[in-house]
Amino acid sequence: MMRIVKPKNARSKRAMDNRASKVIENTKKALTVRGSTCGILVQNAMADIAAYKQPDIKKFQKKNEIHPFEDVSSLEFFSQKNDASLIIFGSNSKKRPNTLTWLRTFNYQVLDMFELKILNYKTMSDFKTLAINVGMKPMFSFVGPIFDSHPHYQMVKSMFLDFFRGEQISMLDLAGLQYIISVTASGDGNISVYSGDTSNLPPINFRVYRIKTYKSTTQNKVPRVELEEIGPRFDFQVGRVREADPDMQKQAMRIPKELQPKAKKNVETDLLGDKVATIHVGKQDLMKMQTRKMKGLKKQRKEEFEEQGNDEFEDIIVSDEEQPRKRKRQID
Amino acid sequence: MSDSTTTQSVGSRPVTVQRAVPVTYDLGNLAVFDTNMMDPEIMSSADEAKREEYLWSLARDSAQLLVNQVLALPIVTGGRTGGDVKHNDGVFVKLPDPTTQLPREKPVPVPKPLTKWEKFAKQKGITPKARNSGNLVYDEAKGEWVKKWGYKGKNQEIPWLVEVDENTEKGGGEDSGKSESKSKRAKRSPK
Repeated sequence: MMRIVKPKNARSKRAMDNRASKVIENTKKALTVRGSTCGILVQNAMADIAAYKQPDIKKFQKKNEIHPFEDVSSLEFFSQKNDASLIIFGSNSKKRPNTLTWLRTFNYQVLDMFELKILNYKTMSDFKTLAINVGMKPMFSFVGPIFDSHPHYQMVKSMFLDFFRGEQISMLDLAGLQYIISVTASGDGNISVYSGDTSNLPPINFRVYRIKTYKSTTQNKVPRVELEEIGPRFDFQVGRVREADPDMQKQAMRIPKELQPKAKKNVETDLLGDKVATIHVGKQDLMKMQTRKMKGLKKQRKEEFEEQGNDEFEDIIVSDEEQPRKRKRQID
Repeated sequence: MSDSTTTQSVGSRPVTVQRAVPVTYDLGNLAVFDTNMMDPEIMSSADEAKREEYLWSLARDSAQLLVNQVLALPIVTGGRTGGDVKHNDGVFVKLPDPTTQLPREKPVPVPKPLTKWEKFAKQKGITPKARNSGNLVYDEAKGEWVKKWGYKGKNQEIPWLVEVDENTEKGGGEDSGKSESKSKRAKRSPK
């Protein structure tokens, strides 16, 4: 662990404040790290993935003697040093060829990680299409019941969402809808979860398509969507998996009080799904209630004043004509 | 794949998608989750082109569904109303909050522990004195702001009515208020 130092100037203080835990967090940053043996295929794969994480990714160029499933301390160090909570570690060995290890950290400690073996890969440059602008938010499509039922695939889904979703925004420019990341896996998810052997799990197909919209003649406004593959194209096989520690997972999933939805008072939904609310209204003064106006019911001015018990009734009546004169005199 | 089709022919294709199991959306993350079974026959076939076309069609359906949903969201034109809008051209949609919960990067921030004094002050209900309140107070009688002390200060005023102290009355001395006593004090003090 690194020593926590007190900032010595305003610039470093700002940098430290930016790193501190926040209610609404920064966009997660990512790292790509090379293992001691990391072939060109894995390097290209990492570069292609990094293209969709720009500008929140740092690509390490040096080899590192790291085995994530044996010792994660160096990766945790990288995470802290670079304030990055997503790491892709690429390696290639005889036993585990062309493998990407996806890691997620919480508080600079590894939360969960899994290996994806690359079965089939077509680089982005093979598609010969224009690249997507930097920092565009992707659309996601997860197809297959297995992403809901199998814990490994749930983790993959969560990781991909976390990795590629980019900045969290509340307003989206429709022109920014440019590409879709499609993740599919066949299989119904009835595969035994903890058999230990992950080789019989169905492969994950990772595809990226550019979106083209065409004016539709069938219906107003809603356009017809067509896709064009822009790559990279991956078929992944799930390898070793390290699930999150339940305690750490609980900590990581906590929602700060400020972001929790406030319980609405006096508003309920009844059995029929109708919204029912209790409204509290102040006491009504029926004496002041405005009823229908009729000439016969109209009060005379005199009566009004008598009712109010106004002592100066006489004066006021007179003053109607006299007061302006009086004022004039005063002015003179 | 999408061969170069003209706008006309593409436009006449349907914009609706039929799925056996309704899909779920997370519009905050622009994601669609389709739990329909994939065709095992095509997925296990050796024909790669066929497989790719199937994956493409699945992705296209998802994209169409998602675009339909996104376009149904409340639209804001001309920006400047939302906090995230930095420029004011283009058409914006208001995204809901994400529904898929993803793990945080760092723990939820905890408030700084109170110091011993802060704890004590809270217990006693001591609130910090209003700062920079200055030397002026409002004099309701005069209807203007006067100094609390000093020249023409509030504490220099001679009260218009003072209760007679019986002891001083007997002694023959006269107590005409604060200024008197102040002058006495001034005499006493060494120069």
